[in-house]
Amino acid sequence: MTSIRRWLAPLAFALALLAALPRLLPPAAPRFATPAIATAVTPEPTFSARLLANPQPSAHAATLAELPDGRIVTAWFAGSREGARDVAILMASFDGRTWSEARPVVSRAQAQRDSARLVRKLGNPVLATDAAGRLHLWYVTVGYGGWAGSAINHATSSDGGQSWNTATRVITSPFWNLSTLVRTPPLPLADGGWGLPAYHEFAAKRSEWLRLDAEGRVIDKARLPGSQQTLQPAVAALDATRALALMRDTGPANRIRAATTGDGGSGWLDAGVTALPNPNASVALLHIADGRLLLAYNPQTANRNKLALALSNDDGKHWSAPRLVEDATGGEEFSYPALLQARDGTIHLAYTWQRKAIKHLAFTPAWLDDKASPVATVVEAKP
Amino acid sequence: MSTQIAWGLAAQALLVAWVVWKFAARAPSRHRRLFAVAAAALALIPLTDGISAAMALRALWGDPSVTTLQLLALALAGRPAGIGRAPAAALALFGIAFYAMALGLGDFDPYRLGYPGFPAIALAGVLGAAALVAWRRGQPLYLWLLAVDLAVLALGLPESGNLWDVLFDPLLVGAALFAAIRPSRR
Repeated sequence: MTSIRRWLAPLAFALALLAALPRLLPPAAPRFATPAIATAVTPEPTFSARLLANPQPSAHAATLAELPDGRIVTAWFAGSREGARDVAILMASFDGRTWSEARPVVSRAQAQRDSARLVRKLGNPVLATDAAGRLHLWYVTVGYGGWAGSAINHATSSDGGQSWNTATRVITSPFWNLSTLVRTPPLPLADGGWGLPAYHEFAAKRSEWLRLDAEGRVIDKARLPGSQQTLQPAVAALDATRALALMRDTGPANRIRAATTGDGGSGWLDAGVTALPNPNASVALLHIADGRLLLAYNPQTANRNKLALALSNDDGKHWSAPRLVEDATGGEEFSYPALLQARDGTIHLAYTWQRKAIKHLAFTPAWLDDKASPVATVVEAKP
Repeated sequence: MSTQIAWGLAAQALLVAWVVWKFAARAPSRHRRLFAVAAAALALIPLTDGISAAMALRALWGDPSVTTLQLLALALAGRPAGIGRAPAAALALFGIAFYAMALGLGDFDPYRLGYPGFPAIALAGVLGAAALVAWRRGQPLYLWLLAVDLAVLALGLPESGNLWDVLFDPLLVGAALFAAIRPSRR
């Protein structure tokens, strides 16, 4: 009897190991999903600008996605000020002519209930639509401390953002799950999962890459090499395995930093410092359907009072001169751009406007090549 | 409530119960157990702003590892497991280096090795082999701890699917450090 009991421990271990094996087996090598090709690109240069109504004094960090019915949705965080307890994540939709009224989709109280944790403040949201039409929302919450104490949460909606399931906490760090944030949109993977750009702030600032399965569970994580003092990697897939990441620089160089992957995000290479200036501000990167890369950024080493677009025909090796879409000289702020190309080919740019509202620009790829077109006419102003 | 959230809240309640158990060391055994159970129950009751003590603790340090929970449960059951000074020192040293790298020291993040993949399988195998050696020497504790860790991971009870998170956590590393450096009782 004693002899049998003695063997219980190794037997239990063997059974547990066998049971856990499916959760430990390596996933297939990641591949980026081939982006949908625009079917009805307007050949004429068209451009429009709109200010979204923001019911709160402060607004920041817009993100964009396209719904299956063709509407564009944006989400941002808004409240009395950044980091305040009344900050909520708002969402609005655009039907091609007007924006709907913004409505809260996540409040601090909701985030507390969903995560079963104390939540002191909400931060950056990130939206994306999967191949099945489900809308995904990742957002940052903080329990204690500042933004360095952040964690990520993930919710999905099957009705275009009208209702959301209970958000789950994304565990990304072994030390009290401290300090992983998101800001820039994920890339869909061929297996139905996501490559989600992220960043770490506590103790050291680092750009990171999370691989998620189709249900949003983290199945791999990579730290971008040479990414010290960088944040908010904006990533664009170049083909099924290659991608370029451009990162906000919090260091003294004040230049956008770059990294590349050639294996679907499993491994990254430091591509060094670009010639593009960066005033410690978030950038947006988009691979448009005609093959070019489009970058939205603040084209100076200090201040966020100018916002510009630049194009690259060679996968980010060289960039066109910046084309300003906002050009001020005082303390104005135009920041945190988000880019999206809709299935009809229209490119959408949303960004923080003076920390008071979100501004939306919609233009065709042809407008990017038409330097004579206007850029600053707001056709619908509802701040 | 999802099973993962129930697991996480119960884990915090167990931690609270253990703290009360430790502080009530001089109370009669029956009262001590009662205090611990009452504290665990109270920790789950939402108070101000809908927040319970368990929710506040989860926000602070996340969910403890399965190993930590097993050691707490053993202590509360009156069978505290002494893991020995040398293993405690090894865990403390490894944990300190591990967390320093995971928090951004250098380009390599060892936390990655705990996600699904051959390194995680190798890690489970190496730890299993070490635990089997200890078992052969008459110390089955490590093998039991690892078996339960893996079983809980297999069941998907923790929010994290990372192998490291079921094996140890900063609280356990802190306790291991304390156990490694405290003076020996004579």
